[in-house]
Amino acid sequence: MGELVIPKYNAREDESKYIEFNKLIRELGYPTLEMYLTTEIRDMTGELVSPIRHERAHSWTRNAYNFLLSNLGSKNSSGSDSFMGGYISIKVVGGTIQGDTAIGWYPNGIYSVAGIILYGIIAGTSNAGYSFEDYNLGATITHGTGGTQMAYSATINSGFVWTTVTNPSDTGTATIKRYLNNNSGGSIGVNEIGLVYSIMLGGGGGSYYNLVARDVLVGTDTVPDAAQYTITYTIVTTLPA
Amino acid sequence: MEYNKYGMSEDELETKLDRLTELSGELGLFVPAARYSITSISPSGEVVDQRDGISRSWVRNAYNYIAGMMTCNPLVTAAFGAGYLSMKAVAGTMLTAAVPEFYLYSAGVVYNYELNTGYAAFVDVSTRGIVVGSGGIAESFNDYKLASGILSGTTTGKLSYQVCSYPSGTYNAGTREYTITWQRYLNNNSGAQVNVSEIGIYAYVTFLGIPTMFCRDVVTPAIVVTDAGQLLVDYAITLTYPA
Repeated sequence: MGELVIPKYNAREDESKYIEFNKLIRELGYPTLEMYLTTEIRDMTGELVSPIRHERAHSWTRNAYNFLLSNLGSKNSSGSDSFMGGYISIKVVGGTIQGDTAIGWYPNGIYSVAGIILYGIIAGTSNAGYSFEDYNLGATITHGTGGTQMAYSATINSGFVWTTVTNPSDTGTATIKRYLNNNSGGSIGVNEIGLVYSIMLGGGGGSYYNLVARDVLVGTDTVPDAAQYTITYTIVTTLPA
Repeated sequence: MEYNKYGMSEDELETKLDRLTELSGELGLFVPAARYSITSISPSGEVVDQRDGISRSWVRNAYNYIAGMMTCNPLVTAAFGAGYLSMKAVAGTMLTAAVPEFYLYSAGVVYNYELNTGYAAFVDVSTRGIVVGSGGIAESFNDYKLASGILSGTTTGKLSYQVCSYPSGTYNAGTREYTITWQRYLNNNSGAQVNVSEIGIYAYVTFLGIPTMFCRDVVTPAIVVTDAGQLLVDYAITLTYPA
């Protein structure tokens, strides 16, 4: 088994600040969601081919903030003309800006079935730096068994688990997981991971696919032919002290 | 369970909230902060009393709403408290939802968060939107309703609730703060003064449209609404975007 590694991500990776942040949210009683990313690569016998990667995700995007603000502030979306500060709009994976001043966004799902990469956890090959404005991966790995493809299984809800302790205070952890099998005949390098929500605008409207998180890996995860790649996002809520 | 922040001075809370906001921007983690303002206005239109404060009030329902919605996890109904992703309605019943969300307004088949669901409330409705009460019992994270909600009406002890809709939305590009302000007027036509010692927000959630409290703040001492006077309550919810 490989050992757990917690690599540095970038200049923001200062754990002392997270500790201070966590203490304050518990003390002051403000909700937030911290996020972690874990990846592992196993060969066809189930053996790890490289150390498990486990790190803080730094990846909430403007889309995620706007979705939350609309739903916690009870505010309709902004119009479809701008995706920037001051607008509660969504820029969907396809690149169009969606919004309607008479209705709000509501959740429709994360847990995509096998083969569907419109939403759920997705992986890509681009190592272009993360931006808060990201609305798609740089180069999404498509589903299949062709030369640069991987076979996506379903995005799995691995449950919501509470840890009840007195200090620090209670935490609730949601675990979202997806397996990708490389049957392409060659190695594939993964450099970016994303989480896409299916959301709806108003009642009866269609689904929109909303990238809420993108993580650029420090160092490529190289998935050999016939290996399995597992991506896990854990999202943690911390209750007041 | 008691928040540490309950015993904190306003200045201390402000300082710590400033630091938390700074960190949230730096780390890219959202922190929705809330502030309230409550104003008593005389029949002649003069401000009689006015209080502003940082809300100490997001309750368990709000936390679980966010966690369930942002991870698409269902609510459980076994219990309301530590260890359960559950929500408890104002009526005391447990909510059921595959994913917690605001109510789908069946007549118009729209989710208009500013008019017919979420924090919106119609005139004379004291079971939705911004609500007020006379119970001064200290806030608790597990509060699911006001201690003693004041009903809408014109008889003794009641206030006439006005419409609660169309919040303002303002953005400060310098601080990257988006603030949504909900506001509600309540008129006192009861024939006597009414004392208000708690305020809160009842959201309209799940497919059944069930009023569910998201926050509660105690006002100490109680604010007096004179006969023929008016009360104005604001809740401002601010999200600071990352640097």
